[in-house]
Amino acid sequence: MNSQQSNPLVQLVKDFLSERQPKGVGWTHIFGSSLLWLFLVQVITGALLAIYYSPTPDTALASIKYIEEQVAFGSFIRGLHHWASSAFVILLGLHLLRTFLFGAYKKPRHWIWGAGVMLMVLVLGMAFTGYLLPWDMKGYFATKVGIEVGALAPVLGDAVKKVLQGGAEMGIKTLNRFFIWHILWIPIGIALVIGLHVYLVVIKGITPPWKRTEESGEPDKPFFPQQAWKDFIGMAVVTLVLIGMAIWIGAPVGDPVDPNTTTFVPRPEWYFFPLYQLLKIFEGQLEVIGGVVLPGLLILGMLFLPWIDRNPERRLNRRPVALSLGLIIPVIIVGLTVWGWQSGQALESEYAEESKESDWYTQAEPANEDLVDAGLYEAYLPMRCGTCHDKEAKGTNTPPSLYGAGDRYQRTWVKEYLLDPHNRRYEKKGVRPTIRMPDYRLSPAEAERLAAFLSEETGEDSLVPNDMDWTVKDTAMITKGEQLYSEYRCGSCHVINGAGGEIGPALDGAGNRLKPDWMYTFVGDARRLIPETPMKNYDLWDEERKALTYYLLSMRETEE
Amino acid sequence: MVNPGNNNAGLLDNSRRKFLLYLWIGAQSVLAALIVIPGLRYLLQPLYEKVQSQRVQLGDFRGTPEGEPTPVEYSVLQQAGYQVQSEQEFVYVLRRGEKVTVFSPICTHMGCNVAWNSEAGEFHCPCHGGKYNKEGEVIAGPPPEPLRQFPNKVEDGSVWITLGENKA
Repeated sequence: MNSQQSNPLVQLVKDFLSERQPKGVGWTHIFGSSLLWLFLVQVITGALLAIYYSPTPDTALASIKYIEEQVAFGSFIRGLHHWASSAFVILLGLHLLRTFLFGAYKKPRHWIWGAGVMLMVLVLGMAFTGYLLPWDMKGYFATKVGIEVGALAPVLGDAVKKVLQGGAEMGIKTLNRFFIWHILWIPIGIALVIGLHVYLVVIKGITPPWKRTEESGEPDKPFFPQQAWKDFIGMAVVTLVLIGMAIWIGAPVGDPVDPNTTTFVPRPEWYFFPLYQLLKIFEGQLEVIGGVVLPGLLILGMLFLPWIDRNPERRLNRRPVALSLGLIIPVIIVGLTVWGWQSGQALESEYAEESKESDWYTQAEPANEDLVDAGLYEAYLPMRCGTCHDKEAKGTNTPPSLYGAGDRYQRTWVKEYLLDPHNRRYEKKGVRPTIRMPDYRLSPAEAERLAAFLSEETGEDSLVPNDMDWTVKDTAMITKGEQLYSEYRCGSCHVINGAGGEIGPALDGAGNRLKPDWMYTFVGDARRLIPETPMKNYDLWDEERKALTYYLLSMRETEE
Repeated sequence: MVNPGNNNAGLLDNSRRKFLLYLWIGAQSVLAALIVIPGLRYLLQPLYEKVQSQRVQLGDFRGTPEGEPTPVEYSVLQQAGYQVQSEQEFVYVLRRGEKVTVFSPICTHMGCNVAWNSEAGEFHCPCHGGKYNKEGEVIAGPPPEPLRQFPNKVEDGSVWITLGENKA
């Protein structure tokens, strides 16, 4: 007896590799091994991401950005994790469809099928809980909708919502719960179900294609080498596609959560589009049909299929009902996916138009202190911005002094400008084409740091105080401001919508660029802020200043 | 079930053994319940947490445009388990003379925030395309109910609403 024979593990592998497959097993049977491989990829990449990820609303997105931008291969690992979830859904769908068409769900393999359906539910659960983890706009609102779908459940709806959310509102407890479900409970469930599934496949054997259930397939060739190599090729194709997607497309990083936004159009991942569309189709009191009844019936129908269809016949040409269902249901799901995608696109475009109207000035939160320090020491000083821009004195306007830049510019605009200075303010806009700030090709993180630092550079006693809440849009004041703009002939020096003089800067997009308190001061007392400006000090009434500021604030950026 | 040819033969062959088996199963269940029941209660904690009602001042409504729903922000203390923090939320205030209606901005379909579209004179929901008129009634799309309204009180020009158990 040699040592290999005595080792039960080696013997198990040998038995597995030499297991004879029924005739007809081939390329249609490679999905299972690819799914197992993807599960391992998800476990490994997920465990790696969890090392740097921080599950609190204040730090989650920052930790994701850190993984993406600072950690070696962080973007790659996260990209793999992101795209593998989509690949999992596709392969699982194909695997279930193949099993259905081959009649492999019938006794004695009914529990193998049941485990597969449970796996599908758990995988969708993983996708749903993974959404929220970056705590970005898409994750936040998609989860909110998902929880509301749970709340549609009869009788228990409110309890389901509270338990999922961890309370009456979404917050840190929701994130903690979803995190732990995502990294522990659901993966444990998936591992157990996969274990059961594989064990049953080994015990019951692979279904021979196109036979009656009582007929066993004639044993043909062993699993190794033919089928093993086919499985490997399947896994290799999936892996190479994932690597390509991770490198060239990556995983998206959304915007920070603003629970009060009315302009963000949340759209789910593609595999939830059928549910998204059902929620749109069934209106009013019928919403429970689209949200709970139909998806629930589909899952229950799939789970109990072996008990519903007890005909032992597995040959497809003798199962016309099964064949019809096997074609109709996937077509409906694909159709709803495409319809959901299209209607989401349409809603997004429609809303983009509307949000131009509702796009109004919002007061930004003060920048994080660490970010401000990083902006000074890691961007402003090493990049020698002070060579061209004086920040200690009001100075000239060309190139602009950065004294009081935090009073003057909106932080989001500064960041966007630093990322693309030529298109933002120079070539495309036709503003001061002869003096150009170089495009330093900053990363979004560098631009954010620099913008944060500049936002804290406030001038002493520069601004004229006012009692306005500029975040409240006042259409009457905007109209009045427009009249004043014309009365004071501001257009002789400034361009708006391509009309006007070019002595002063163009005012298109002023509402995205300049802060209202600064504009309120500048329109009446320009030299208080920029001593060398050619614009004279106008003797304006307080109401006139306010109206002009409102008008300028309504000059929103119209192009990217 | 007794399986002859198996070592388990005779496990249930008399009532004493049967009794001991059932007792054993019962004892195991009690042992498991000692862990599972507190665990379930622990998991369901959010169901037992009461939301404290809060009275919130929205400010002087006389500044809001007549007949046009206006978003008004307010600060509210939110308790999420161990964490208490101040959150900014908002409502839509519709003023008609001295009468004020305060709408929740939460779409009654899937909980997204609706936006007031002044051109169309409608509230639009970005999630699934629900639309409400100025009174908050559903005019298109899937929302099952009108926008919820907060009962409000006007004191010295200021609008007050109460959040909490009655919160929309």
